Formats: sequence, structure tokens, C-alpha cells
Amino acid sequence: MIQWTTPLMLLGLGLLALPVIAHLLNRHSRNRHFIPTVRFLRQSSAQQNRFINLKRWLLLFLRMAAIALIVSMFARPVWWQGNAPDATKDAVAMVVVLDASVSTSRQVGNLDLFQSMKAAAIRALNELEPGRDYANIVVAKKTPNTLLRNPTLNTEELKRQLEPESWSFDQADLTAAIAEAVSQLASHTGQKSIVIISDWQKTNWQGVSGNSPIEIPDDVNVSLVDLEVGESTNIALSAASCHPSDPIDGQKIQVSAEVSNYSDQVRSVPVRLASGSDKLGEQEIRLEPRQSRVVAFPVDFDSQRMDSFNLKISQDAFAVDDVAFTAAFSPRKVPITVITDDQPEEAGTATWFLERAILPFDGQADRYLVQSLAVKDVQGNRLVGQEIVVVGYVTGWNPEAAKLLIEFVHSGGKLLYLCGEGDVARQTQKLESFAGESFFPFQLSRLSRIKKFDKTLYVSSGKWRSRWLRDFDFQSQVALGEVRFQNVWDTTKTQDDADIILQYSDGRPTMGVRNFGKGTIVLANLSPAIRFSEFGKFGSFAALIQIVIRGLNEEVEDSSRIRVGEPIVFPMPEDVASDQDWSVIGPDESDVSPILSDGGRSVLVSETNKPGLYQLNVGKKWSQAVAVEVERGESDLTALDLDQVQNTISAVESRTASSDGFAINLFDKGSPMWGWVALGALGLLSLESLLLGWWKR
Amino acid sequence: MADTEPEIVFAELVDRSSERNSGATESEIVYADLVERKSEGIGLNRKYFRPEDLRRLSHAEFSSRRAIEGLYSGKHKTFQRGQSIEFRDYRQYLPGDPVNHVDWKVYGRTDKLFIKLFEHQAELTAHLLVDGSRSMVFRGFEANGVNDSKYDCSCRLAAAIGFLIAKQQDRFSFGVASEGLQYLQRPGSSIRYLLRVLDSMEKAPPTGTANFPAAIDELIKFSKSKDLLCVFSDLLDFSDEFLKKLKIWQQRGGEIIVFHVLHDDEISLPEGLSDGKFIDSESGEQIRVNVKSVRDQYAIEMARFIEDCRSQCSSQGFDYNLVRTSDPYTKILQRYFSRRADRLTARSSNGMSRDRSSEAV
Repeated sequence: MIQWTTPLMLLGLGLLALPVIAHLLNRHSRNRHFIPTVRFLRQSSAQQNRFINLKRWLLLFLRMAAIALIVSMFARPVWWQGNAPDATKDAVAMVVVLDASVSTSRQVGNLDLFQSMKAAAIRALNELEPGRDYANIVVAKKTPNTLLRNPTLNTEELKRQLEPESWSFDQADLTAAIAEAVSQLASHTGQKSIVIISDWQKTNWQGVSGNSPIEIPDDVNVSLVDLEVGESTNIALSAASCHPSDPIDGQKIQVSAEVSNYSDQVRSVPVRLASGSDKLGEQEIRLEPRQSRVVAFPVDFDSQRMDSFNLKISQDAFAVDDVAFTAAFSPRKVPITVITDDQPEEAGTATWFLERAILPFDGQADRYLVQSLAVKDVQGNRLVGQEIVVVGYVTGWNPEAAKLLIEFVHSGGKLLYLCGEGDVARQTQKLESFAGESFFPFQLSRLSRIKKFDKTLYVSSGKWRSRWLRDFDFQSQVALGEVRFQNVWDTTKTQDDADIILQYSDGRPTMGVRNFGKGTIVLANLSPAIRFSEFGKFGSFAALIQIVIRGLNEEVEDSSRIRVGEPIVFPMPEDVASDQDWSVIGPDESDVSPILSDGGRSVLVSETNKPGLYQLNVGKKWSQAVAVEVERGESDLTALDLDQVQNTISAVESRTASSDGFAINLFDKGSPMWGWVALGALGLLSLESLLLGWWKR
Repeated sequence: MADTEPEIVFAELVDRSSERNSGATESEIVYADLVERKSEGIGLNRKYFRPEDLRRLSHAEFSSRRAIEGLYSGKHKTFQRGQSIEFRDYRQYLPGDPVNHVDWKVYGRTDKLFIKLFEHQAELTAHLLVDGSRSMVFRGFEANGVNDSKYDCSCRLAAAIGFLIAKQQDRFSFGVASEGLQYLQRPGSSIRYLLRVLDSMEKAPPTGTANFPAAIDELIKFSKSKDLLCVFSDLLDFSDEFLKKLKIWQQRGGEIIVFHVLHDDEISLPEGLSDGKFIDSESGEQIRVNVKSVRDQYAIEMARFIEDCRSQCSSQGFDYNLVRTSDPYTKILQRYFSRRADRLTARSSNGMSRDRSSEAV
């Protein structure tokens, strides 16, 4: 059916009288001729008159039709396939979900993408009928930001509210943003519409709802606005690190970072390392499509001028990940819990040797913060916040402790389990029974006691190149091989997914690694207890423990790398005076509003809102720096196909709306016909002129 | 020059009249009177008669192609035997014939009494019948009162012919065919009579239909059998009845000259004529016409009409002349006279009796 956009213009149909009047005036022409020979004219024009009348009627019809079409053009007819909506009743409530994740900061043309998306949002608002339709905007950041409390009729105010909005360094929580949009529409009774404007970043949308699509009520229409950004390629720097992280002056260290090629072409990228204004090195690195490589710079450490390092690549469209920061002396002490039923303070116990190996400096320079718990104390939230648990000597597991430990590992914790004195085999089996499945890399059966020296076991092989043991140099390997083990647990079943990284000379596992849940278990078939073996006395034990814990800590570091938006906790030096000045400086020397927490023992930066270095300065001599980076997935700018996005959104009507730079076709507004009507009018006028010219020729 | 030219014409007329008529005649007196009156500003310079145009016609004479029959003696031959010196025939003497008519020379040779017969030469009587119907008012589509109407053209022709007739002292009558015979001026030959005819022409407004049959019937009542009838008409009401009456006139021995007067705009619709409503002058019939589309067909229809009139007249022996109002009437008359003279010459060369007035047409 046809609907007139401005039906008042149809009053112009009165102009149809003009050709009729002209026709009548022409018919009653003022030209009157008196002639005596009318009979001859009559004979001549008998046929001609019929033709002339036909021509007159035809011209009248053409002119009237042309005027009718011209008037219709001004009334702007719209053709609807079905019934046209009632403009006065069907008020629309529309919520625009605007993706403000860091990937929208990329440059597209002269603007960043977010500016284009804001313009698209304004165009979407322009689609609404002012004074009738309601609208609101949800800016999807880490936490959705709804510009107005409720959908408003005042779209102009909404546009003003949108004006200062900018992209964030966060990864947008789109699920929460869409849920907020749905809740905004809940109370509306008319048409409901959610317009999602995003860069459709694959890494962002693939995980938007997990495995189940986002549920959207049936009465909500969803429009996915395609800005047609095109393929975006990006080279990213991430995971900058300093190894070792606690160097001394003059020590050779490696500053490394991961360079990723998120494009389908081979790229050569120059990577530059600098510390402050000192340029420390540059490497050209070649990357295959979709390849990530670690670039490492050897540096002679100088604590006086190397408080932090930055690595840069040449700037591309997505500039945020073109620089990465790292610093030596990680201020963060990794919390380690040692579960043991013996006395850590008693020399010669397994725990005594163990803590001595974990905290070799016995002071401020150690990276780990160790708490010792007896099994009976493993309860409640004692393992919360702990990253690594080391089990030294356990007399027996109570169910609560066992469950806490299993849950700790399952949720991502790291476990180093030493098999020494006591009925370790039973204890491990008990843990496995609590876990309900295989827990350890291998199972223990009984303790072998080897009395003859020449029959004693030694570590004969290991995966020295694995990340677990790569820091174990040759001398240390030789030293470790010198150690004789008289008490060794027999092993029965090695799990298929276990990784045996060290083996005894008889082939039984010395050390195995297995993932359980999100966590990792390292089972060590050895113990430092002096009543069990002499291994605790060897320096290679300390090295082995340090290396294994560092290996476990690497995983922790990887998963606990500080992202934008996460808090930073700086440990405050113990000897700092209460009145001593301290400050935290964020990237670009921005104020980050730090607070003292934990009774003055730490400084908390509750929210980091930019990537870069955050530096705690205490007095003049104490300085720590923490690098904060954007979510790594944001660097992959590959867009998801909108059909796939539609699959992730469970809506009755979900469709793609294209933005052509002028308008967004969000609602079915029918097919505008005025262009065709104008064309028809022109055609009729042309035909009229043609006929007149032909007849007068 | 223009003022003196009529005087010259009149002087010629007077001279010729003096030559042909011994002693002072009425015409002579009238011409002299006209000259005098012209000096008073009246004269012959009327709407339908301009003496200055008659200079070229002054040498022409108007006569019938046939033998006429007249009461008074004149210069036109008749089939009557009379007192003229032109020998016509012999016949045997019958008792009662005047003895002085006996040709004694023949009696001397043949010993039989024969009487010599001589031709009777009579004056010509012409009847000028002008169509006074409404259709004769047509002056063309660009009529602004200046152009001559068909009636004007007809009257000018009639006046000129009447003047020529009067000039050779023959008689003519004048009438307007308008719903019958109107404004009749019985035959006369004087210039005064001519003036009266001119007055009648000017007074007679073309109106209604002509009704030529009734008009001819009226003329027949007082005309003689061999009188000349000049019809000036557009022949738009050229009916069978009209033709029948003309035939009757001819069968009585009279001659018929038809001046078919048409306006150029009638013969072919002029270029630039706008479309519009065309109204018939007489019937009031209206028709809406796209001129361009009918122009050619109209011209064909008109040509067919003219040819039809010509053929009907010619087949009946009428003297047909198509007259366009755009042509000066003097030229029309000159052309007509020359064509008529050619025909008479051809007839004479075919053994017809020699026409005494070789100039007469």
C-alpha cells in the first residue's frame, strides 16, 4: 500500500483544475473566424476533428497526469509491501549499544573508528521520530555506561551526552552492555529496537556469550550496524618482560617482548628497545602471517639508568599496542603457601630446607612471600590470593584441606608436591579420591629404600630445554646428577597427559608436570628432609626449587599480567617512615589516586585506566615500576562475519543495517517512490512536449 | 495628375459620344454636367466606381456574343430585319410588302420579284445581378475594414461594366439578389442612371441568402428574351434551381456571364491562420478546426467546387469567369475582355458573320 509522508501536499491536486481550465479555454477559443465556406471545412475536417479531439484529450490527460505526479512527489509517497505502520501509535524505543573497546581506537581514514561509530550512533538517533520515539545509548566498556538513566524523548540531549564519550583501553563487556540495553527497553510497550554499533572484533565477539547465545526478548529487534571498516591489519607488541627480573648491576639480562603479526601478509618489523631516552638496541624481525615471535635484547643491566624499558615498533593504525613496557625488580612478591606438618624453624626438616631454597636471601630481595600452614590450618580462605602452594611434609589430608587444595589447583593455582617422609602414596591417593579423577602426573606405590650406594639412584635425564628447566645450566645439571637418592618412591601409573621432566637413572619419574583444571601440578619424587635424603643440603636443590617455582610463576605471571582496568598493589618498603613522601605516577605522568592499604604495607592503585608504566616512588631511593598493557586479544583486529554475530544473538529479528555515511536504514520505512514519481512526471511532460512538437511539425 | 485624369477620361467620352451621335445628345449633356459637378466635388468618384481606373477600359466596348433583340436601334446586330444598311437576305415578294423594298436589279436579271432584307441593329440591354447574400461580406481573415469584400469586388465589376454599357449608350439594369431581387434599377443608360445604380450598390447591405432563382424570375418579368445577364456571385448557393433558371434565361435567347467572385482566403486557407471556431456567414454553422490539418484538404475541396462551377457553366454555354478579390477589377475586366475577344475572333474565322465591332467583346 502507498502511504503519503506529507499528505497535506495532496491539496496541490487542486492544480489539476489548471489543465482542465486551459483545455476548456482552448476549447472555447477566442479565435472565431467567419467564413462562408464552412461546408468545405466540415468536409475536410470530419476526420481531422476526431483526431484533434483525440489529441486534445491525450494532451489533457498527459498534463493532468504530470501535475498529479508532481503533486504526489511533494507528498512523498512510500510503498509498503504490507500495511504501513501507524506513525502516531507505534512509538519506538531504541537503545544504541556502542562498542568502546580499545580496538575502536584504530585509525580509519583521518578519524579513529570510535568517532565514526559515534557518528553512526547519531545517524541511528536521527532515524527516530522526534518527540515520539525514545532512545538511550549504552557505551560498552569494561562496565557498561548508560548515558541517560532511562530512554528519553530528548534525543538532542542524548547526542550532547554522547559528544564527550571516547573509547576506553578496556575490553568491552558486550554481554553486559546488551543486557543493559534489554533492561532499558523492558518497560517500553511499543516497538523495541537495539542497535549495536561495533567493530565486530572477532576476539571480542567470539567470547561474548560463551557457548550460548545472548538471549534477547522476542519483541526486540536487533540491528547490527556494519560500518564497513574493511580489513584491518595490525602488528602488536605484548608481554614485555625482563629476565631475570631481579638483576644486579652489570648482569646480562634479556629484555624481551612478543611481536605478533595479525595480518595475512609477511611483515618485517623493526623493534626498538630503549630505557628512558637511552636507545639500547634495534632488531628487524620477520613475521609470517598470523605469527607471533619473541624478540629479545641482551642488555648489561645498570640500575642507575635502567629503571624501566620500553619496546616500540613503527606506529600503525592501532597505536595502542605499538609500545610495550617492562621494568626490572618486579615489585610484586608472589605469595606462596607451604603446607607442612613439621616445623619450618627446625633445621633439617623438609620445610626448613624448602623455605631456605625458596627464600635464599631471607629478606627484601626475595620475590616470594611465603606462609607456612599445617594441614589442619588449611581451611576457609587461607588459600585465597595464593598463587603457588608447595606441599612439603603432610601427615594426612583432612577432607576440607584436600578439597581446598584441589579447588585451588582447579581454579588456576600452582602446586609443587614433594614426596618425602610419611605415607605419601596414601596421601596422594586420598587427594585423588577427593578430586574424583586423576590428579597427579603419576601415582606412587611404595617407598624404595636403597641401601647399597652403588644401587642408589640419580637424576640421569631431564628435559633441559623445556621452559621448566631451561635455566638449569650444564654445571647445575652435572651437579644434580651427582646427587644420590636412597629413598625413592616407586611409581606405578603415569598419566598420559603428564610431562615427565626429570627421570631417575632407573627410569622412574623424578619430576612430572600435569595440568588439572586451570592449574598445574608438579609432583617431585624427592624430598629435602635430612631424614629422607641428603638432597636438601645440595645447592642444586635450591636451584631446582627456584627454577621449578619460577616456571610455575611464569604461568602465574602470564595469567596475572596486569591489564588495563585491573588494580596494582605496590608493596611498601618495611623500613619506610610513616611521614616519608611517596607517590604513584601513571603513564604520561597522570594522577592515578593511589591509597595506602593493608595497614600501610602496600599501596593500592585501584583502577588502571591506561596502558603503560605505573611507578611508585618512595623518597628518593625507592622506586618500583609496573607495566600495564591492554588485553592482548584486542590487538587482533580481525572482524567477525555479521552472520556469525547474528548467531550469537538470539533475537527473533536480527538483521544487518548498513550505514552509508548519511543514514542508517534501521526501520522498514517502505520504499520511497518520489524519485520514480518525479521521473514519471518528467516522462509525461517530455512526452507531451514531444507530441506537441510532432503535431506542430 | 490624379485629379486631372478623370477629366481626360470624361473628355474622351464626350468626344466619342460627339462623333457617334450627331448633334448634342443627352449623354453629352450629362458628361458635361458630370465634369461640372466633379469640380463641385461630387462626380463619379464613388465607392464602387473610380474613374481613374477606367482609363484602361476606355477603349473597350461591351457587347453580347449573340444577336440581341432591341426596341431601339443601336450598334448591336440582331436577328430582326430592319432599317440598317447591313444586307441580310432576299425573299420573294409577297403582296403587301412595300414596293420600295423590291430589288429591281434582281428583277431585271431573273424576272422575279425579290425583296432585300436588312439587319436590324438594336441597343444592348444587360442585367447586372449582384449576389447580396451574407457570404459576400467576407473580406478575408485579416479583415480590418480596408480589404474589399466579395460584394465590394462584385459591385466594382458591375459598376465598371455598367459604365462601359452606359458609355456605348446601351442599357443596363442592376439588382441585388438578396432573398430575391432587391434594389432593382430598371434598365437605363444615362450616367445619371449609373449614379443611381452606384447609390443602390452602396445602400444594399449583403444579408441573408441570395435566392437567385427568385431574383432571376423577377428579372425575366421585365427583360427581353435576348438580354444579357451578368451574375456576380460566389456561387455558394449554386443550386439546381439556380442552374435551371439560368438555363431558362439562356433558352430564351439571352446570354449569361457568370463572374465567380471568391476571396483568396476562401480558395486556400492562409498561412498563419490560427486554429479556432469557424462560423458560417449565412447559416451560422460552427465548426472547430485545426487549420494546419485541414488546409490541404480544404484547398482540394475548394478547387473541386470551382471546377464544378466552371464545368457546369461551360457545359451550359455560360460565360464563366473566376474572379479573385485580390485582383484589381480593371485587370479582371481587361483579362475578361481580351479572352472574350479571342473567342469571338475564333468564331468569326470559322465562317461566322464578321463582327462589325472588332473591339467589342
